[in-house]
Amino acid sequence: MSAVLPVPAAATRRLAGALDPDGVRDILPIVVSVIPFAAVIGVTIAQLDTVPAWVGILSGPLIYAGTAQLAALTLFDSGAGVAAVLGAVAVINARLTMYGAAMEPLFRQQPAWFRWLAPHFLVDQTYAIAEARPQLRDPRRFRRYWLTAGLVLGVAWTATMAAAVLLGPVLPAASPLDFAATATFVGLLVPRLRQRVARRPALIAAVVGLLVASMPNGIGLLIAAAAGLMPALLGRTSP
Amino acid sequence: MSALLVLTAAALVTWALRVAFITVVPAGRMPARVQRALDDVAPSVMAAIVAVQLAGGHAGIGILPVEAGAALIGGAVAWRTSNLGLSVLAGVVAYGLLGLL
Repeated sequence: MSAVLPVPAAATRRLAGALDPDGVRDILPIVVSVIPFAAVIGVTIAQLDTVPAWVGILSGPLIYAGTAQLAALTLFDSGAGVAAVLGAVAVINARLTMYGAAMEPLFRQQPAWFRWLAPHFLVDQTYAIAEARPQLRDPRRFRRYWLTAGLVLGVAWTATMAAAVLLGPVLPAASPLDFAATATFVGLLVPRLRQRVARRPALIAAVVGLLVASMPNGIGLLIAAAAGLMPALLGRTSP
Repeated sequence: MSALLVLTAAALVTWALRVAFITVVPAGRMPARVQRALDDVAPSVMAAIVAVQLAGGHAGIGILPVEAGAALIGGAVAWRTSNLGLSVLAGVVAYGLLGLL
């Protein structure tokens, strides 16, 4: 036994040495905050009729964006067409283009493999924590930080989903956890409303969303989100 | 089409959005009007998601009272703290307690 123990210990040390300490420090609170949402998606996966559990779990690290993943899973399971599923995913994740545009200077000096593959880890939370650290202008530093945060979040997200899939059958049909997805978006939206320019598109989208919520297959969401963009697309400046 | 293919396509759509203005088209070349619209995407999408979920599929202006109350409490915590974990916890706990009333 004693000859075996140093191997995992050494591997653990190597892994710890490869991770960026600031990346770990910044992403851990995010990991805690996304656990309820990942569990909700896991429980949802366990209840789907047309999506095998392993496919549902695999869609987590593949899509790496919880709301779009949830929308894709539930729309597909409800019989929506491919165009409706992909359209909903595109609209829900359209904000990632904005984050990408804002982060482009950090990727400019990176090797090609990083510029093409590492944006996979771009979500609200990783954008928010990286944007708050000006010392990441150093390309090597940013690369290590970004991969650490993205991988830790992805592993935690996938593991939580998988555990929830397994526990889903023994969990109660209704629980306060059912509200975690909505609460997550309230928590992401509300701090943005401190910026005055965010209030008009949010208000328009919310009102239209209430009006069209009964439309099937996420179409109401598409219409409401598009309505929020109209003032800017039509060239009118925000107040 | 199988679930795996559709979800893989969804992943590719998402990846394309991520690399669009990082690797494919330099962000600085976008027209000002599009940049203004991109600035509005985040609040629009998130507000739309919250509104649709609070409406619970009802036609017209109508919201689920328990969910709306929990959203208000979670939103108040988010406004005060900007802490996503705390606001989610507050919203979920409020949802559980309001559901008992």
